[in-house]
Amino acid sequence: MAFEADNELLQDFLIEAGELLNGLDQQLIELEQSPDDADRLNSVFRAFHTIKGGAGFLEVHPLVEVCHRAEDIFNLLRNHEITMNSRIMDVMLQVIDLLNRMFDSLRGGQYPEDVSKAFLKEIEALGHQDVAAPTGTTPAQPAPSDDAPADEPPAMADEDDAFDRMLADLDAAETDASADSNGAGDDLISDDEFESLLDDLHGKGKFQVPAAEANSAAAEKAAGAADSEEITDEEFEAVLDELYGKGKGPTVAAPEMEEKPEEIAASESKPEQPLQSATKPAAPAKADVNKTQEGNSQGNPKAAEAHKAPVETTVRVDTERLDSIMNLVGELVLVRNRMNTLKTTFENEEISSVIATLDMVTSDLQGAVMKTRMQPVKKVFGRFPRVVRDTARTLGKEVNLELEGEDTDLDKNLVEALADPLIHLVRNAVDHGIEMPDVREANGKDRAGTVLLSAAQEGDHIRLSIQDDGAGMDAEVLRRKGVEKGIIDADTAERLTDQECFELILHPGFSTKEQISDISGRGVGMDVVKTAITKLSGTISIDSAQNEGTQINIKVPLTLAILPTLMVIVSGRKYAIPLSVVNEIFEMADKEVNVVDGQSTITVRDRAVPLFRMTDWLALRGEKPGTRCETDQVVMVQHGAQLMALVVDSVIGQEEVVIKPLGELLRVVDGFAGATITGDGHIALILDLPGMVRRNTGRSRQRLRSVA
Amino acid sequence: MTNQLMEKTRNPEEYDEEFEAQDQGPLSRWVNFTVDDETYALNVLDVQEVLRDAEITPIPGAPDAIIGIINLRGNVVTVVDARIFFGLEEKAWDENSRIMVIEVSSGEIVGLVVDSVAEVIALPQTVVDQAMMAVADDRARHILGIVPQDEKLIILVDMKSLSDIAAT
Repeated sequence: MAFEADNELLQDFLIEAGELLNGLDQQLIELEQSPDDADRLNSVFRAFHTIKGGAGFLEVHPLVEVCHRAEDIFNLLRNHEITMNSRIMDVMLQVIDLLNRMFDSLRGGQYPEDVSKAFLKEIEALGHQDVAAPTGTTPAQPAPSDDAPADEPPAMADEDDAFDRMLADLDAAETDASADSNGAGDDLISDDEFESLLDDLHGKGKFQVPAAEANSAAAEKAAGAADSEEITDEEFEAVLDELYGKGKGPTVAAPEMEEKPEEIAASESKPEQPLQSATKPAAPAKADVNKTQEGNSQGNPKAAEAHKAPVETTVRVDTERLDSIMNLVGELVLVRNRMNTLKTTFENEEISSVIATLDMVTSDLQGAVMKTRMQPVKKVFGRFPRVVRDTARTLGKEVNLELEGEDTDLDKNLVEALADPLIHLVRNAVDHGIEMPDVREANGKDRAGTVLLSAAQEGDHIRLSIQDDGAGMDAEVLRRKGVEKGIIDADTAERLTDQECFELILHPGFSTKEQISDISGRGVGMDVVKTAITKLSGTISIDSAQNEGTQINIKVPLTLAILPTLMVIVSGRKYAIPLSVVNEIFEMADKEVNVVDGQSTITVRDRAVPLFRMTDWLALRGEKPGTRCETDQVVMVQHGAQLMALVVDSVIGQEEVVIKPLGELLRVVDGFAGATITGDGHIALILDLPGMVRRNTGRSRQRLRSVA
Repeated sequence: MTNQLMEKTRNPEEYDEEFEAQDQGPLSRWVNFTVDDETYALNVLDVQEVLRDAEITPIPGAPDAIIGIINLRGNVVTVVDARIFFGLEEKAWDENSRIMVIEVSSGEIVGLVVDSVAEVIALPQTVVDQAMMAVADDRARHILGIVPQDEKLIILVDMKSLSDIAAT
């Protein structure tokens, strides 16, 4: 049955519920680590509920059926009627997979298939089993405290709903606080009560947005200040500064959320009033919320919406649109560059200063547009807990995954392109790296291995590393295997450093595993990883120590939109060589060139490097290749593991360029990664070294054959 | 420096009146251009603009008909020489040479270098249809038909098949 895919509601649902679904995966894994995390149980429950609601509205019944049952189970879990176990976890992960498949078919415009009754029964059974069991059937937890940390009001719910929820939470907080203080028989609110009140209040603020973190930090600060019973003006000032200083985020909701702890801090700052009732601190906060609600409903409905979650302040933009903005900014940069050139001809100070301003604004604009394309690497890392868990379970290993630097930003295209290579590497780390628990124990290690996945920005690069504390690799074994598989000959193998031996695993067809498993060992993976990383103009390096573990480092540029290049001139035309492949530049004049077996070679620091004349490679039809010239310069480039010396007429220098793709008509032409428009409005072709080598070494071989 | 100018064409309204008077049904407009003394015409809807001058950057190793790429307001546009595409002798760029910017079947924008661009003419649809039926040669897919006009023949062409260059 076809489904109306162009329906706007459906698209919205797919995007929003899709995000929830992605988050669920990770949350479930985290739940497995800490099964009693009430916040998390609630948020999982709510996510299912939200997806169910949306699906119900769109009348996608199979989706509703599954979510409804999953929601039931989590309702039981959060009410402590049943406890989390690995069976529930397994089934829930299956549910996630199933939901993902349903989402895929919805995206493809297909109504998802009905769910098998057996699976639905299986989910239902999860609840019954444990209820039948005598353990943990007391719903002792009072409902308000269950609801109080309202993690994430369902994105699909309308604003009134969100507000009701917030008010309910505040009421709950109020009752809690008053109940507690009654028990304590104290006029003043105790520190503990204040803490819990704050928790309840800013629990709502956990929207995964930095502003909320600032909020909670500030709230803690406020709580800390409250510890001293008497808050001084300075301290109070400091708290306010903390609140507002950190709260300068882009979110509309942030200041409002911060107001609440502040309000409490304000009331707390007058502890001299001995008859202040414990319920009071909550009351002003409530009033405050009411006020804002009124203000918002009269004024800007958008702001009221922002109460739901600060996430609402973001706008979804098609990347295509961003690309076109990027393109236009690129044009503006060119105009600016031309203006800069013209500036000298005007000799007018006013014009000069205007151009200087234009210059600055354009640069800022360029930076700002670049930033819009950035996404935190979290987007990829989020999948790994699941990957590691599944792989480890299949193999019967115990593995902990640690993530570092999840907030590192990189270009959206890169985030997507890196996902597959990283998944492969992480799987490899679990499969090949980490040993079986018994083996680990015998070697004096923890039974559970650790895989550390980290990301960090280093200058204009991002470094991603996958590190395991497993068995490590044996350079000797790799060396032997390399010779066996015919990847290298014995002589070369002897000369390889350990590091170079490790990098042998990147070769196609290289696999040391005797047994090919479901997960890895076919000897294709690492080659694919390498190709993918190279395509992103990145590099990959491997380091390993036996019995200590393996570390794989990947370096990729921050963005693919801008490419640092070396501009050179060949036959009077400008070309750009990606800087990532350039090793060094030197003058041709003082170097000796020999011809070995028909191939020119140049000796650089006692190393013979094949030499190629770019005037040959880039000769137009009917153009005579140039001959050696005194002013020739040599650009040493890295082509795979091989060094190559390219002779160019002259080197202009480094330039960051915006890559413009070549048209479809030029698809057949190998050797160019694209073109770019230089500062003076001319076009320079960007060389694609592997393609260039493929095209030209093929031709020279042909030529040799025809001579022979 | 790249100088991009829109070629001025005569006001098409004039033609409308001319032909409506003769009552020959709906009209279609065609851009006349010459290559090697032959007059060709492209449907006006396929032509985005006509460039008087542009700096063409050659591409080493490209198919013969592709003479290079130009910078069209920040976009890189491939340029094809109509002479080579039609299998005629090459001719150096002169003051009458123009680049017609057209859309080909792949949706790509391509520049076509022609000897000169003359004017926009309006032809009754009936005349065009007749001409199209007369030509059914698979070897010259880009030729739609031939229309006599003012004692000359105008070859109606469809450059959408330019994208086939890449396939050969």
